[in-house]
Amino acid sequence: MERLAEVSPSGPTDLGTLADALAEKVRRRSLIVLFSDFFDENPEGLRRLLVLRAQQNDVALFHLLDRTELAFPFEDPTLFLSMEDERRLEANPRELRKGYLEELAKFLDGTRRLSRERDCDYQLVPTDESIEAALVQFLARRDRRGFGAEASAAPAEPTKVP
Amino acid sequence: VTFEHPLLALGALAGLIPPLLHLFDRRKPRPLPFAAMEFLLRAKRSGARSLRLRRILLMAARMALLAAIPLALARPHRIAKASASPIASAGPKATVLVLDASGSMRYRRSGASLFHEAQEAAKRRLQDLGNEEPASVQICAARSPAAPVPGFDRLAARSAIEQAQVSAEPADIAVCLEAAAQALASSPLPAKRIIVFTDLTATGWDLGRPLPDIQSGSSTVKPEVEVEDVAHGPMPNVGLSDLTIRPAPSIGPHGYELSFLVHNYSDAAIQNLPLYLKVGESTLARGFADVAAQETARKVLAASFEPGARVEGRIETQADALTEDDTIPFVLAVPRQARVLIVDGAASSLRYLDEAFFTLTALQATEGAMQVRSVDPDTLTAADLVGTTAAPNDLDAVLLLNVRSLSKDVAAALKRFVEKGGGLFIAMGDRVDPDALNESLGALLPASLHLVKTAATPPGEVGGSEPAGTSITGRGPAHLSQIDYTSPIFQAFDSAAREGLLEAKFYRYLLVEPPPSSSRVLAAYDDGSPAILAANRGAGRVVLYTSSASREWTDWPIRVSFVPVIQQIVLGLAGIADSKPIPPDLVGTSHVLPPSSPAVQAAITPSGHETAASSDASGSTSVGPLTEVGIHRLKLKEGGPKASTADFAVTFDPRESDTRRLDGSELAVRQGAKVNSAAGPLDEERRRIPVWTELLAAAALLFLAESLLLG
Repeated sequence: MERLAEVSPSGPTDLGTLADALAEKVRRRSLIVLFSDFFDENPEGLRRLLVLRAQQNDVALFHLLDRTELAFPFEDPTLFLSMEDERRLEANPRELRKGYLEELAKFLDGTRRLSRERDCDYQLVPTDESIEAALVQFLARRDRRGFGAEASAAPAEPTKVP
Repeated sequence: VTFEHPLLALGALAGLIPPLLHLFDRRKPRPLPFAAMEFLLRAKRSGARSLRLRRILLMAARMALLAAIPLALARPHRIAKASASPIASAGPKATVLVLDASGSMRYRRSGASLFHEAQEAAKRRLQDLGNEEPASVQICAARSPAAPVPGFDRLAARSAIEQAQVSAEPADIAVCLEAAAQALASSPLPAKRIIVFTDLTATGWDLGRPLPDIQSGSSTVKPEVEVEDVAHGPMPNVGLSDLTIRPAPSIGPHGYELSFLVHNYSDAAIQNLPLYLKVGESTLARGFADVAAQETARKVLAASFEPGARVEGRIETQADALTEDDTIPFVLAVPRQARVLIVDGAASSLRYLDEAFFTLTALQATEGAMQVRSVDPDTLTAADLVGTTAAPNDLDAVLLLNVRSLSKDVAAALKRFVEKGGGLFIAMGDRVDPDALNESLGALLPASLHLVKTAATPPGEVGGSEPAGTSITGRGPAHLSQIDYTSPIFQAFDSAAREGLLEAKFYRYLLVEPPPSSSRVLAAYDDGSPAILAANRGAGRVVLYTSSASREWTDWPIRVSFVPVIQQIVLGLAGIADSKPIPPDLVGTSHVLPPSSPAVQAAITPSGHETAASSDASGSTSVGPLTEVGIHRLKLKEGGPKASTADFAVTFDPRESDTRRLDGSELAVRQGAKVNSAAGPLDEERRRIPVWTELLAAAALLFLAESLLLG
């Protein structure tokens, strides 16, 4: 956890490259816990990552999203600046809110559904909640099931998706 | 569209606020790093078109909302277009335009009379007629000539409309429709049409009378009748009518009560309606009336006038839309007060036994027209009759009742009095000495007195007690006969009232010598002996009554018929004609002059026109028909126009004050007429349709739309 805390995020998300790197490094059956917003421009990146599960690894996805990204509570005209590249958008948030939340819901549903299909653990964690607590809960739940046991269903989500 | 508050309408400029804000108040957006940029861009791409449309709609809704509220507060109205003619044109029609010129058409709306509105409407309809449609004009008023056969001379028809004058009289629309139908009958066109321009007051229509048929060749055609309602709605009106004037001695010797009706032809009760009795600019009396809706009240105003005055006055109330019935003019000849001296030859402390009792009672019933004084013959002096040089007497008539004789001085004074224009009445009685009176009055008497005749013994008198020189017939009491009913003193007796005169019993009377030709016998007893004789003496006049003015010789004084005769005798002797107030004439009627009037050539109307006088077989003169309201002056034959006591007033016809209107639908149902109540230019006010309510509703809807667009 200390190592994780030292990492500072930068650059675009590239889940496909990550999947390839993990496939190289993981030689025996492992527990892979992934913390990400999963905003990958390549829609195949997540699928390639979840292949690790087919290789007898345990994969747990912790979907980290800012609370404002989940609720989109903005009212005043805003200049949105991309955090991963140079894109920007000046808009009235009230006009975009409905369309944005629809797109987000579609994305979250797709991610959740894919995790379930590949028998991976999935948990949405807003960034204003403690990652440690979410991780401890996950591990405790895993212990109760028994290491290596088949996860029959995704754990209950602690956070309500808007 | 018009506004009640035009300045508030400028507030509609508030609608410009949203685009101005959009242009000038663009705040700098707040920058925000955002990870889910891809979703934002997708949302924008997917909703770009609908978003633009929504922005435009939102802007429009806001602009309209901000403009609608001040516009609604400015209370806009739109003017409804006059509906087109109710008659669809189906081929050319011969047309007669009937213009209602009755008195109620003088009713004014927006400063112009309904008749003017009817003229304008008729000219419009004339203009709208097809080139192949012949037309003529029927003016609908009393005595209006019948319309000519419809023709194509539009100028003549237009001129007939423009030159038409509204009358003050009622008009019978049914008669006018028949005249129009007659004119249409001569038109070769098979289709006929009558267009009536009227205020639809109910008094002009007779719904029980069917619309006229037109005989066209061998067939009967029903003309198409359109009614253009130029009043367009209720015509509330207050009118005065039915003025009667009668003496009111309770308020003075020359006081009069003027009684009249106040009609309220409106749906609202009237309270404290001011009423005035005016002469010139002076208000002599004032009152107020409360009249319930559609009701009538009688009101009385009273005032005293100067004796001998000729009053031209009016009853007046506040002017309304029909001003002609807000005033009733009147002419009142106030008689001077006759001064009468009764010389009571048989005075008694018991009033009913007093010789002058019945005469005095009759004269006092003239309600202040006379000032009567009674004296004893023994105390009568010449000064009582002719006064003194310093204070000349102003007596009008002297009555000698049962006076035995007169002293030489008094007799001489009496002669002077009569010759200078005074009136003398002499009644007989048991105290009269015929010879002494013959001697003292001499030629003043209409006939020399002869002797007393007893036709029958008076009740209560013992037989054989007749006065000396009495002639007794014993055939029963005498009665009046051979009465000159043309004389003013008997004019009050119509055929029914004459019976009371003829039933009077005369037991005793004085026979006279055959009267000279200068004397006139106005009544005689059934034996031919004169009962009442009259003669002019100098500038004066003498009347001799040969029986008694008390019950001593006759029962006539206790009969009703005695009162008017003695009143008229004394009024005539005093030189005061019958001065009963004459009520105003009604417009449309003729003014009938009394036979004693001077020869009249014409009456001059208030507008200066002349209405010719005519005489009928009976010799009475009438002036008319009277077409104007107001004071009319008589133009005498021998001279030019001059004011006289015979001038008279003419009032508006109260039937035309009744402005209650027919229900147009009833007219349509019962008579098949097509009623068009569309408003004309004068009634723009009535056709104003408020649109501010719609604006407010639109604003509410816009507010709702704005909320929905905001999501």
